[in-house]
Order: sequence, then structure tokens, then C-alpha cells
Amino acid sequence: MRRRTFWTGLAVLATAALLGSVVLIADRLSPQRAEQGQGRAAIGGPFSLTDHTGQAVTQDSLKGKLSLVYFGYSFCPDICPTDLQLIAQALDQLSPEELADTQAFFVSIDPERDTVAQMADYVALFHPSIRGLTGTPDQIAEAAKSYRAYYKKVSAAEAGTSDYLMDHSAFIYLMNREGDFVRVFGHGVNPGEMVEWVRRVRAGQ
Amino acid sequence: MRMFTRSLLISAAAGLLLVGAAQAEVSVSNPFSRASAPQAKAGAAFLTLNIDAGADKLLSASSPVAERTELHTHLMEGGIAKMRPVEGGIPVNAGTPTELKPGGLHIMLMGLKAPLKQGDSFPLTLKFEKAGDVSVTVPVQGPGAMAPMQGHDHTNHGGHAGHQH
Repeated sequence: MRRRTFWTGLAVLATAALLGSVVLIADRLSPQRAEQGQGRAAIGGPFSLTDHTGQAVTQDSLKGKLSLVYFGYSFCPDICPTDLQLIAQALDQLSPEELADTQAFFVSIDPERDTVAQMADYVALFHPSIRGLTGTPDQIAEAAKSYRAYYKKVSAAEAGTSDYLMDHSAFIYLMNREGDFVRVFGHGVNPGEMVEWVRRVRAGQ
Repeated sequence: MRMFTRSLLISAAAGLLLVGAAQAEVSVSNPFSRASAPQAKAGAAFLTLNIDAGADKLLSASSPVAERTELHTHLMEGGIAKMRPVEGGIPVNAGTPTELKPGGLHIMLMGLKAPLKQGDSFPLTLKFEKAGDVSVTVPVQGPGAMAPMQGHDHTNHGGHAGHQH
């Protein structure tokens, strides 16, 4: 009898351990993970940058509208234009009323190349509602830290190219009208998914 | 006489080279590029490479629109985009098209001499290990174009008009 209790107990423990690790793994893999718990508090925060028209933009500029925030650089010929085009497509799918309530920010992680003029030049390619933000290296570092965006300069020598490159995380963050984080979209997201989430947030869901 | 023999040999060698190129015929299809900002320093060209038989390798590319042209690829590691040059060229094998497309392999145009305007096109010369130089015309599409425009066949076959030896 005693032995039986021991084995039953062991089996229960083993099952619990197994379930626990499955839940842990599933949670790690879950795309919603960033929405929950610490993710909600950790993405977004103070920044002080200049937009492509020369206006100052801070975390307070996010208030009152929904915002899509993306970090990249204008020298990027491939990943950034793709994601900016997807943002532009999402903005184009919004009704005029929804569009008036939504803004998008393209934040440079390449202060060396991305001057205000350069940003003006670049964002104009995509959508009038996309504002290009740049700043000093310190200002950009602060913004990237607030959004947990990763970037790293790779020198021409290190990369084996004729000009330096930037490694950078390619995420689109959706922030609500309080400036709080709602959701993150990965590179190559379907614009319809962004539209759906903009509508959900506007509907208060 | 010696001179004559030598030139005969050279002609024969050149002829053999041409035959060799015709056997492993690389074709370049669906080239496209993206419109750039007026002051942009960089752009990219995308295309698909096919070969009838055997294998070849794209070694380099050049275009009068850019000061430098490099073969690059993108690696996505945990949501982080890393652009890197391709070492040792881009292999082309029979049976599997080699696609240079957004998010992966591309021809990086660095030091653009003039902006790439939507609706324009520019020449691009691809240098292959076996096929030699193959020239294509690359149409410029929208700034975030993901694929070549439908209904336009821009196929250029090596060994045809675009071939330059």
C-alpha cells in the first residue's frame, strides 16, 4: 500500500513537471507573450526626438492617437522598405476617420546617416501619415531602450562591405492613445492584421 | 606562320568558350528594383536565376547607376535583421530557381548616382563564373515592391542579345 502511494505520488509529480515545462515552452513560443505581464510595462517609454519636418516629438506625442512605431534606417534597401510599405498599406486600408486617429513613426537607429532632411526624403516615399524620427546618438539610444529595440553598427571592415551596415530588430509596435503598448507585429506582417488591431483598440477591445 | 597558328588557336579557344557558355545557359528573369528617395545612397535589385543544366555561380554585378554593387543577403535572427555580403558568390543549380528577393538575397546598389524613379529602368550586368557577363534591364517599381509587376516578362537569356563576351 505504502509502495503504491509512493509510485502514484511520483507519477503525479512527473506529470506536473512535464505539464509545467510544456506550459513554459508554449508561453515562450506564444506570439501574445509580449502582450502579457512584464511585456506590457516594458515596451514604450520616454524619448525625445525630432521629426522629418524639424518638430520635436516625445512620448507625449503618442497621446490622443493610436501609433505604429518602427525602428530602422533609410540606408536599408530591403527590410525597412518592406515593413514601411506594409504600414503604408495598413494605413491605406483605414477609413478617413480611422486614419485621422492613427499615426506612424519610423525611428532611425542610424543617426550618422539619417539627418532630418534625409528622413523627410525617405518617409515621403511611403505615406504622408508616417513621420520619420531622428536625433543625436544619445537620443536614439534612449528611444531604442524604451522600446527594447536592438541595433548595432557593423563597420565596413567587419561586414566585408564598402560601407557600414546596421543590424536592427524589425518589429512594429502598436501603442494605444495613452501611449501604452498593445501589441508587436513581426517583419512581413499582413497589413490586414494591423488594421484589425487598430480597429480593436479603437473599439475598446 | 607562328603568328597565324597562334591566332588560330586563340580563335578556337574563343569558340570553345562560346560553346561552353551556350551549354550551361543561365537565364535571368523577373528583375525589379524599388524606387529610392531623392537623396538615397542605397538601393537593391531583385531577380530570379535559372540554369538549364549543370551549375554556375553569380560572382558579382555592376551597374552604371551605382558606384559599387555588392551581393548581399539578409539573415533574420530572433527578429533582428542582419544584412551581410554573400561570400563566394551565389550558386545557380539546374532544377531549382535561385531567387533574389526582398528579405533574402539581393544585389545591393551602393552610392547611387541618381535616385531610382518608379517607371524608369536601368542596366545591370551580372558576372557568372561560367556564363560570363549577362546584361539585364531592371525596371524600377514602387518603394516597397515585393515582386515584379504582373504581365511583364523581362526574361533575359544568356547567349542572346544580352550576352556580352
